[in-house]
Amino acid sequence: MARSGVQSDAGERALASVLAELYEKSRGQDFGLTRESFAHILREVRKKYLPDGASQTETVALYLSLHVEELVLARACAAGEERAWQAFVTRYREKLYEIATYIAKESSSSRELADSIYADLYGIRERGGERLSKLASYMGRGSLEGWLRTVIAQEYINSYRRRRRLVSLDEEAEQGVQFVAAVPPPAKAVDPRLTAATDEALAELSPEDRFVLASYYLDSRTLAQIASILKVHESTISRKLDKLTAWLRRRILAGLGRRGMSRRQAKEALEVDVRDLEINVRSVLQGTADPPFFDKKAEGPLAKG
Amino acid sequence: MAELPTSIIERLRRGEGPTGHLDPDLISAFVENSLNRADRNRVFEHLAYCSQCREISALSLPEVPVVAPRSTHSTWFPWPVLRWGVVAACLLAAAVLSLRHRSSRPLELARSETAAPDFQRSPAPPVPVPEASSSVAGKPAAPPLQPAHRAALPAATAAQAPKADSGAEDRAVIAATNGPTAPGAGLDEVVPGRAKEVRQQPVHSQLPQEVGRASLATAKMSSSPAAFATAAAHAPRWTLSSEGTLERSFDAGTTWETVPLPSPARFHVLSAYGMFIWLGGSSGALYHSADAGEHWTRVEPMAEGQALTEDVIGMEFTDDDHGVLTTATNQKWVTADCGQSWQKK
Repeated sequence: MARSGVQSDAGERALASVLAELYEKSRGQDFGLTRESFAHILREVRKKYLPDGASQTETVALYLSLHVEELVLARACAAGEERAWQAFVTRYREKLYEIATYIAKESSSSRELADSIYADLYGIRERGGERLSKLASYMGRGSLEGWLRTVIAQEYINSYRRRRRLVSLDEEAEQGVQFVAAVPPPAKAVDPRLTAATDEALAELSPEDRFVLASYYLDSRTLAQIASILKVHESTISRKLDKLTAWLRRRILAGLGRRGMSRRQAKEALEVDVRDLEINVRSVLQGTADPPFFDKKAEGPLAKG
Repeated sequence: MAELPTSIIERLRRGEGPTGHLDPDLISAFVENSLNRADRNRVFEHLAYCSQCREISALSLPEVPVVAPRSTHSTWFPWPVLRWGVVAACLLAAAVLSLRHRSSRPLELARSETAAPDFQRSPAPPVPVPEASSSVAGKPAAPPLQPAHRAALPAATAAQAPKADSGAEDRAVIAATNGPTAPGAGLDEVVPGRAKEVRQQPVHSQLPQEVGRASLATAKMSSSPAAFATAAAHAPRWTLSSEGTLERSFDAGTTWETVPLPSPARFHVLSAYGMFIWLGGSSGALYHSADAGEHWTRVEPMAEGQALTEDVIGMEFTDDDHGVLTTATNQKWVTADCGQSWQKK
């Protein structure tokens, strides 16, 4: 008992030392932030990202990974500290508009997007007399600039989806049944053995591998885009996709074999899909398919009326 | 690229749509590659099934130059062979020029062999370093050079004295991989932010070759714009990480190495020109290197009797001598003599 008490004291001292070091690094005193308030902010981050029983080591590792200077700046801004806002405006206001322009592409909607985000960051809404600033939710895991990018990207996607929903409803009300969603074609029967073998193979994929496949085949991202996200070379992603594709085929063929298909039958089941034939005919009759979201950001605002 | 059968794509799509989404902190930290392994795996587990969070992750990437898609057709001269072939041809041409120049002009190549970057001031003729100054702590001087043992290019050739050219000024291209390039930002515009990207202008003259990074600094000593053009063509790329550490690449961004800096300051901006680089950060931290980061000099700007103590958040150097710093309180500090003297605006 005494030994664990000593260890606990040593751990507390180590944590206190780390907190002191981080407080100095954060320059919280420049914005009138006390050591206790700083420690409270870090505990809030810890509570969000670590389980209750997390060890001192994990806690210290989390604290050391935080961008404490930016965290303090953001929290000081959220608290309405004027010097903090000056620093934030000088460093990030122009960047905010640049990021919005890059994401939204079209200048008028990018301006609107940036203004909306800026207002949220400043906190024009109040709850119970307290200003609600989005900056209060910044936790310092990534850089403040990176966080701003993600917040802007989120808002852009949300507003895009809202516009699409509104336009669809308006048109439907005005035009009647013409714009009612088309009845989906009846699902074609797919050999359940193929479905089971495919699901079994996909379940064996690591999350990262599944992410790469989904990004390329579902989201239609380019190799360069996926490589940028994973911080690897484009050729690495190309090789990875080739390997994964080949591996999936082998696993599915093996799974179909275990389910009683011959090699030839398994290959036919995998390669020849009735839906491919239908899709080709449908696309010829209906024109090109809807582009993936990522390309849609190049479009301008939807016309109304 | 091998195609996935439709059946597999359909089953992949069926698994989409978890409840809830990642918070912006996790997504931004993931994109910046600053999560630990456990958290990164948890993020992958979510992204594997959530198209919306994948979209946000992709949009959260900093702006990067568009890269042409790889050709899937095999050719007689695939790109890697062509690329190294061009490099080899350039080196051969440079070697021929080098041999022709060697007889006409002696070359000074003296460089102290220091493995790690050093922040000490390097006394090196012909630019003396003042010990103390009321206006500036010291002018960053070019270090003494010797034939470098490490070449920036795959095959190194002997350096030679620069040849005067028609006067074209060329600038280094630095990769601002961690921050966006201000769209439409002109060369004369100071944009508070991180690494600046300077447009590269075409090289017009026949230029001397170099032996490693150190020999390029010799070009500075000869004060030849032509030599600078060579330096610019082989200069490293620079970037600042999200933690404010400096990284450089000598292979056009394929690989990066951290440049250790003994200063505890966190750096926000950099400006590079050929082999010269200025680095600005918190509490007035300002450093200069004339040899691509091998040696550093601390510069302490003084103006009107006051030292620069604020964070340097913007920097624009049109060449190694002329530059403007922007501080966190939007003050401008201007120099026209490579940091020897400063004016506050």
